[in-house]
Amino acid sequence: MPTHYEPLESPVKNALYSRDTNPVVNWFTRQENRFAPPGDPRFPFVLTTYRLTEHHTAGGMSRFLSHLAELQPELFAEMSPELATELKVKNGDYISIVSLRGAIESRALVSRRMRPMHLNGKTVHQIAMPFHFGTSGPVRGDATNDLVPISGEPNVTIMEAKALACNIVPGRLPRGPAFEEWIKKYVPQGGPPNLHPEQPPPGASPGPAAGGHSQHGKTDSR
Amino acid sequence: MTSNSPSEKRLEELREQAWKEGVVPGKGVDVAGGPIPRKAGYYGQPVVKPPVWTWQVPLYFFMGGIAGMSAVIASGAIIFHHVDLARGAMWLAAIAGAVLSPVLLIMDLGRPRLFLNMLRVFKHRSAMSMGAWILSAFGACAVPGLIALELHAHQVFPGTFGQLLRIAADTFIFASAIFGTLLATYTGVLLGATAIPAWFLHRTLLPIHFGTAGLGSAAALLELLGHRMAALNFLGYYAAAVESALLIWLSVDKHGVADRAIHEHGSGWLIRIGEILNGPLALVLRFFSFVPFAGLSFLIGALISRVGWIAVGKVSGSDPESVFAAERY
Amino acid sequence: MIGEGIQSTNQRKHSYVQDRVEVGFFTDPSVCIGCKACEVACKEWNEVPDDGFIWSGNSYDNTGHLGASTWRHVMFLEQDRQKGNQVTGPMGLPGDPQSEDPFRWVFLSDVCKHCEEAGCLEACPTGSIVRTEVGSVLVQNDVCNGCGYCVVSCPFGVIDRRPEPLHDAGGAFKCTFCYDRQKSGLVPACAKVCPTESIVFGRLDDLRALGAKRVQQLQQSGYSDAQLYDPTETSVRGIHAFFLILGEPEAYGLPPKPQIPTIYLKSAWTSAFATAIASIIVTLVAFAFFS
Repeated sequence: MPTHYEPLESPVKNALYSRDTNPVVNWFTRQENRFAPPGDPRFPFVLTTYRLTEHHTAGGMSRFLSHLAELQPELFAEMSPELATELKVKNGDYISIVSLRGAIESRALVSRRMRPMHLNGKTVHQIAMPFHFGTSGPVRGDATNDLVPISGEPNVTIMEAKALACNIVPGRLPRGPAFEEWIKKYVPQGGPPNLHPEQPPPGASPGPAAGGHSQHGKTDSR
Repeated sequence: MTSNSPSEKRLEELREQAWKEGVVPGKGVDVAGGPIPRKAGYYGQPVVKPPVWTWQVPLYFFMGGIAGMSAVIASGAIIFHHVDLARGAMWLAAIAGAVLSPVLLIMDLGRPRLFLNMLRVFKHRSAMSMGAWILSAFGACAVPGLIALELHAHQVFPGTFGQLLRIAADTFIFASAIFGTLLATYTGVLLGATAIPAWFLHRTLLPIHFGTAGLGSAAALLELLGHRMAALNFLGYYAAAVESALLIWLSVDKHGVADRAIHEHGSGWLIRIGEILNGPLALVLRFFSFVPFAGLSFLIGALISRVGWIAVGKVSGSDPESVFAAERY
Repeated sequence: MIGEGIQSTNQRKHSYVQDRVEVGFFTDPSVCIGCKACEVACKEWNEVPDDGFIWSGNSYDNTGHLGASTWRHVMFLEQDRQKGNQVTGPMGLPGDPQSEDPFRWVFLSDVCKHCEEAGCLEACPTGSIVRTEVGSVLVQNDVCNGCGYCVVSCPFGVIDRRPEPLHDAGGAFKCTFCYDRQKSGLVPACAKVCPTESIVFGRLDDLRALGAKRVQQLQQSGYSDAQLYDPTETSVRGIHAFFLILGEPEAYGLPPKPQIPTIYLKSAWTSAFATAIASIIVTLVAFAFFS
């Protein structure tokens, strides 16, 4: 039977069931791999990641080919005009995107192709970023996947990289030692690694159906 | 939109205004290509291309004008027996027109080593092709004319051969004068017959301006080199008077958005300052007998004006709205 | 046509050059998917250098404009209008007036228009720019000396002089209509790779008929602002690479009434000759009466 579960990081709770997330998913609970609880006000925006035609396979190959690299030379985050107005961000401004795993910076591409969502009576904004950029090549950018948590889908252990919660801070990302200070303001330090109420604690086994195909049948307890 | 936040309402208002009026003044969210058309055309990209020419080109216009009209003055001087003036004018014509002008043009080429390709074809529908041939013909007449004139003046070859030399000199000099008038004026056609709105909308004014500026500059330079004559003074008055009239014409003959590069942009001031220097100011200075200053003012104005016309072309060529607006003329 | 496979005019071998048939491009944005394969194929085949790695913020268009190192340019327009009969507006239910939120994303692949009366061709003083057997406008790069006069003579702003330090800098470059490919019976690179046949290559007459039919088809499907962009009634007298556009030409940076600048020659030369004659007369007067 088809069913619906919310992504592991979601701004809302599941409208169908009392349980938000898939019960047999692997969480890989670690301090560096924390998941925000549903509706966490520190990470109010939804981030989704997608591919660009110009870097279709992966940036590691296309960024080194000048004819492809010039077509999409920088990392950008698409956002709706409504969100841009709220954040006081103009098209082309630098923004820093923070999740519980880390922070990156990109340009803002303001477009009406992005629409705010209205879920359960509240407006939820979404931004979308391609994930083709990295530290090498003629065109470089921050790696979107730095924000993504590692998880394991029950059947083939693919991680959920297309839906996560984030916060957006207008302005460039500080680098070097300044980054350590800056990140403390937006990402809670310390505390247990399993912030999400449905996330098993470190060391617990993931559940009966998660054996078999998944290689790492246990959550990592380091 | 079902949301009621003030920012949503404001965005709706902006969209309505953009839809109705096509433009939204003031600051706001800059949406790429979206409902708030901040820039004309396609993201404000140029519709035509601005000229790629560098400083050598306006300097060549200036030199070419002087050279061409010097040959005209030399012809007049020859007819009325002012041999010294004729020699001075032909030196100016040869150096400016046969040496400096080609060097400047070749320097501006993207591939200078292929400069001779300019003479591969003769195309009357291309002002630049005509210009290449005019310049070549001018040089081919001015240099032998000068050599023959100098040989005759220094009486190197006495007797009949000397007289033949004089006839040859006169012929070459008159021929160079014909090509010279075209050399001084074709550059106005060169700019006028393009897709740049500020240029093609003034295609009648430009040849008159460049030609007259050339005539006045040649007279002024000859005066500064020591040839003080009533005839040159008259030419100085004439050129400054025509330039003053052109300044008035340019100021009243506006085409709105289509030539706003001239009338609203800073580079238009270069043209106006140039025209003031070689128009009213030169007239006034000459009237009060400050002839060298009048000449200098004219020369500086003529050069600044050329620079201004190229600068205005770059601005106009980069402005999509001026191209759309110019279509109705 | 799409669906014809290798029998399509975009794929099959031809002998247009030998037969001296006029060819053209018909570009239809209603089926373009904005993949930019045409841009990349053109650059790969013609070994065109990159045009700078500059993010523009103009939707997905980081190319900007046609130029010496961009011979195919895909435009991305985000407009507050519907595409045909599509209803957009995710906020409410269909039919709910509050939810009407028309929006469309239009892609169009721009290229050199290969004008019937070409400004660049008339302006070129070296005879580098010529008309080929298939009616296209070709720059012979071994002849061009980079004078730059074609750059200001194109009413569409297509051709440009390539700046240093790019490869083969100094000359003027633009789309060649893949003349080298056509001589061997092949199809231009952009048309060959276009996955939706938004770019259609073929005999110009056939394409004009196809374009007219397509406009009618689109109008009947609710694309009320579909029109052909082929300025046959101006001094350009039509373009061999013509377009179907949705909306008005200005939105695409296309001049609605382009003119070939040679129409300005008559008044300009008249003025020049008048000045020339006046200069001679006034000089003679000066010497006659003021010596």
